[in-house]
Amino acid sequence: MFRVPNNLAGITQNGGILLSEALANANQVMKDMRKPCLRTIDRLLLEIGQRFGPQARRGDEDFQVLYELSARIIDVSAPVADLQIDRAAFSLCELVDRCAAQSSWDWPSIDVHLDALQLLRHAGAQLGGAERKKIFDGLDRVTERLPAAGAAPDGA
Amino acid sequence: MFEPPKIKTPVRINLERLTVMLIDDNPQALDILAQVVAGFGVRQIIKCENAEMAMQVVRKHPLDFVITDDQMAGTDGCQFVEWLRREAGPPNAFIPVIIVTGHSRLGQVKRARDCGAHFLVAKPITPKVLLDRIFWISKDEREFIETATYAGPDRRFKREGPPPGTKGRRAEDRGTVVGEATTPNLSQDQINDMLKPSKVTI
Repeated sequence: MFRVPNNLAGITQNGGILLSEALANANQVMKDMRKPCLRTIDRLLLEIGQRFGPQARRGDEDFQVLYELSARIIDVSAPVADLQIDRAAFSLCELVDRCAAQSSWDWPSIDVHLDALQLLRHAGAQLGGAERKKIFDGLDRVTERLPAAGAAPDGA
Repeated sequence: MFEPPKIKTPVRINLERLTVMLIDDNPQALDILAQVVAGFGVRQIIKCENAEMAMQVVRKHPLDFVITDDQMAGTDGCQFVEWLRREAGPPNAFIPVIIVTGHSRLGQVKRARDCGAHFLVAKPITPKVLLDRIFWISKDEREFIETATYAGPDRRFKREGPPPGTKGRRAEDRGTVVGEATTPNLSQDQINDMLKPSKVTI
């Protein structure tokens, strides 16, 4: 064991900007990025619906494709964190993982998640706490019907 | 999930002189992170869209801090950090690294803990959470460890000694048996003096 220099050690000692200013700047970034991120989320939801929705010809789709599309929603959700669409996308990733572990799709559970994503996208800001809880409890219930995917071995 | 100890939030923060590298294969996510970090006052920001690009930067530029996505095509964030700790050489080998991740399987969380990163933070990242982690790292006094199986900051955040009933594996671990006293007990006045608050001028 040995000590290494910490280049961040002096960041609170001299000069700089007020903490409130730093956070205000960063929160302004979030506001400015809101519309572009919503556009991206809309494109992702459209693609997910077209490829994996009830109207699509669903059969032997690649689990990894839906997983990655859902993960990309999480990637750009910071500016729209109030909608909590990232939480539904996270749940969808988990569900897809569990489906992949079993090598079979659970389309009704996928459809529940797609509906939740659309609801949160378009009405998320108006939903109250109780309504949100119902949505997320519902997503948890359908996801938990499948056994969890095995964890990757340590070091893998 | 581990929550770092609460620290007293300072009033001012100076990140102007830091060089920060950000790695994410999602261009929009990379852009969001860069703008947030710039909002904190960082002036030198290097954006990399993959780990291979980041490795080239590490070979050429001294850095102060890295934030990397974990799930990327090709070399992922954990693999990058393992390379950084083993292959980059000082001083970049020791710089703080935060890994950010969306959905994480349990195995990935363990990998992130064991790859040598300082923190794993869940997406979406809020400015306040990121700033809190930066403050925490600025106060981090953990030593670095290099062994055959691990290179990075000491993964122990607490020093509570070995589990009860076991011998410690580290040279500085103390035994579990306290033994008989070898010096006189402290008087009550001596104890009171140790606990008396004293004025500190900042």
